[in-house]
Amino acid sequence: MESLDLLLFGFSEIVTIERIIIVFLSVFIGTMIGVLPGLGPVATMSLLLPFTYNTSLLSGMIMLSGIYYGASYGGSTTSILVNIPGEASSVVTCLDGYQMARQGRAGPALGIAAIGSFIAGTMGLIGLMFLAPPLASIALKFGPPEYVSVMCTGFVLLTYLASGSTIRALMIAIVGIMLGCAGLDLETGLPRFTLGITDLLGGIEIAPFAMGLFGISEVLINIEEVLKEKRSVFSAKIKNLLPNLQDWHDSLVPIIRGSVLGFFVGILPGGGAVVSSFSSYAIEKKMSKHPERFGKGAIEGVAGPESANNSATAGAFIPLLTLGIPSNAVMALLLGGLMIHGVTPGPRFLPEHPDIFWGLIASMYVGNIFLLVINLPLIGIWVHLLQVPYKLLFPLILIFCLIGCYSINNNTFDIGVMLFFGAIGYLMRKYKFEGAPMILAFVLGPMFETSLRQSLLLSDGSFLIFLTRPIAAAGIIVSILILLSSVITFIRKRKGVIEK
Amino acid sequence: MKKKTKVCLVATMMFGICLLMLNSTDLVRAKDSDYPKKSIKYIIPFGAGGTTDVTSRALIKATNKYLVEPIIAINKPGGGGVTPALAVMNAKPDGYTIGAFSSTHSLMLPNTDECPYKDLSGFSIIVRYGKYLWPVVVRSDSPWKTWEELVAWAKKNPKGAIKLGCTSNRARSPVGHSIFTVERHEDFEFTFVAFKSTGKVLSALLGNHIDVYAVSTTPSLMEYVKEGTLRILAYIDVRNPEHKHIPSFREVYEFKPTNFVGIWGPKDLPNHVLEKLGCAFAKGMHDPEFQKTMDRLYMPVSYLGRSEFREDLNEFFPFVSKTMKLLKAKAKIK
Repeated sequence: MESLDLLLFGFSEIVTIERIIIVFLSVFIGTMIGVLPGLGPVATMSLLLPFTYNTSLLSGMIMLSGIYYGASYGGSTTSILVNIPGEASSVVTCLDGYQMARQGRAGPALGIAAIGSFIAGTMGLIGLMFLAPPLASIALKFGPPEYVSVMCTGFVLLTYLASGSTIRALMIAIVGIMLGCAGLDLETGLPRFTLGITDLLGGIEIAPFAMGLFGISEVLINIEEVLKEKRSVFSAKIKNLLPNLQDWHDSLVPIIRGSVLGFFVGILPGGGAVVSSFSSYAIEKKMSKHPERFGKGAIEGVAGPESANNSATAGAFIPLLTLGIPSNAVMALLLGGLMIHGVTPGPRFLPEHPDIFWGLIASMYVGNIFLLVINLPLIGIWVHLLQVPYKLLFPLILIFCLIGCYSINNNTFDIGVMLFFGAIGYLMRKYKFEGAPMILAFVLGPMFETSLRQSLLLSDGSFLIFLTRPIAAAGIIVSILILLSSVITFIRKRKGVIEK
Repeated sequence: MKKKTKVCLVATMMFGICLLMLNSTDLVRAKDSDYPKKSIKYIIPFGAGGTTDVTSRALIKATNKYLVEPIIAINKPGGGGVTPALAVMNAKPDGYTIGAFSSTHSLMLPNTDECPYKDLSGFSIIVRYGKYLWPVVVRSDSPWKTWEELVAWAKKNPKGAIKLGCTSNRARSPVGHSIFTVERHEDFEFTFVAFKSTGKVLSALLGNHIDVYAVSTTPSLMEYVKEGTLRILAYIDVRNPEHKHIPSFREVYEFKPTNFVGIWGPKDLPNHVLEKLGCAFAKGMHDPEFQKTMDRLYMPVSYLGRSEFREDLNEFFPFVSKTMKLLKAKAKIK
């Protein structure tokens, strides 16, 4: 098969001591960056971008992309250990992963996250290899109306993220939408919800928001618990370091489902990794025979989303390499790196530079293996870190959060945002409002609104545009079907209760 | 006190006084000839990887050869451009904080309500280094082969029939202002649809969701033009030298688009700092590697010294204010 030949060619390009070392170092750095909350791959890559001027293009690309997908492996670590999402796409892992850690099952959680990420990353690469050009042309068909329907589906799945009261989830989701709309409106250029603060003109940054809402609030709650009830935060007994057979059995299908879902959703420019991890969680919960386990330490809630956000990183390469269009900030950086070397990704990229494309793919296979090798032994270290007395642990957590938060934009305002939402998150917990629906709404709301207004501008005000375009109509029908199925389930349960 | 102690004390005092004297004379001299004594912060008002970012970094790399201490770039997008501008304006005028800026920051933003500064008095202008290439692009399968054909079609059809994609509200971008001038001249209207990034506008055009693309020239865009998938109908200001037959709005409609990317600092920067920086950047712009990068990113190198640049800006300002008032009025009428 031609693709396999080309892949072998790619391997031959990277099998040099220099390049293998670059792969290893970059995924290692990426993992560490992913572990540190806040400090993300974008900041690191822009720091290292000048190094790529002096190396060959392929080596530079290998280095930058290694940091990127390495970070998505490491991002789950703090989510599971201390309920701090390193990035928006790791928020969902907090929901069940952290509960597992509190039950002494941090090892299996981390293990499944690592292995799921490996399987998903590899599957994503296979998709990238064989499906890149046809998928790219399908991605182009997604204009504003199609995005509206995707967001619709996302909103319908939103309540699946809540393990408690649905009404409260909806209430807090609306607050999330309002917060998401803060900033300069795209179409009119007018400020909304900015309270006259110039730093809010760009909106609320999601990473400080998530870190505060989940991480800082967790620290506050824990301090209160430890002081009040003198109970330790984490179960003293570590159950085991690696997933057991039952865990494997439960996780296998979610991993496969998450990989496929994440890959396809990740291709869509804008919000790919976030939407894919949230959707994976919602779908796992919907497909599960015991949905009430979710939110209390169900391993499917870690396996699915972690796989989804890893294969989404593979999918995100497709628009860049085949169309020359970056789907997120990381891809924009890679584009910058390519442009400096005078190479422009786009329709002529694959035929004219097969060495770069296939070399990159080969390096990602190798990188995924290295990541598994690096992450699995580290589990032991991370798990034992949790045994440190909380009164010593939490100041370290706070310091990491502060440094990570500032590193995003070099802006002290972000730290204020993080602390503010830390306090809000604490209050929310006290009154049993959950953070996950709020964050999903925060991300989806503005995207939905922007796409809706763009669609109406394109259709000169007609709502029919959502029905006349096939993909958009399909998405909306899917959302309606999901809603209907929930209604039917509800009616059935009611009937069952009445009959009893 | 013992005699030895007295002698020691006096000696130390004299030594101290000598040091002080040397230091103070140093202080007087140090200001002028020793700048820069530490690294200079350069604030890029856009995200990493974009045209302004990559070209700024290339310029910095070339300029650092002519400075004793390096310039270090940091990205500080945000607040629609207000945050990085304020970061420069509010910095200490010691020459260790400077930044890049475009017409948005210097001309459009001061005319908005939420911008804390209303004119350019809070800034020192250092130098201009480039101009953007702003194309008006359509798909090659569209019915318009030339700009004139598009205008003719637009006049015969309802207002706003042609959907134009851009990256910000038209009142805040120089592209928006220039196209507004053209629309008034020819008496027709585009429907402006704003997208979050240049890439999204490009994919919207390729995917047949919008009719016209009016952002900047990127290498990705040029790939499609070279391949024949997309067609450039016009340039707003400067044109790509290879495209001599494509009209430029500046020539056809005889106005001066506010097209530039420059470097500025807080107000009251001492003259020797301005001189040194201006000189270093000018030399940096002659560096062949910098010019190659600018070429690759389709940005023409365009040097203008600080006094002429400041004059230019002062000339543009009232024109931009007037256009913004017209645009605001137009938006409210709807």
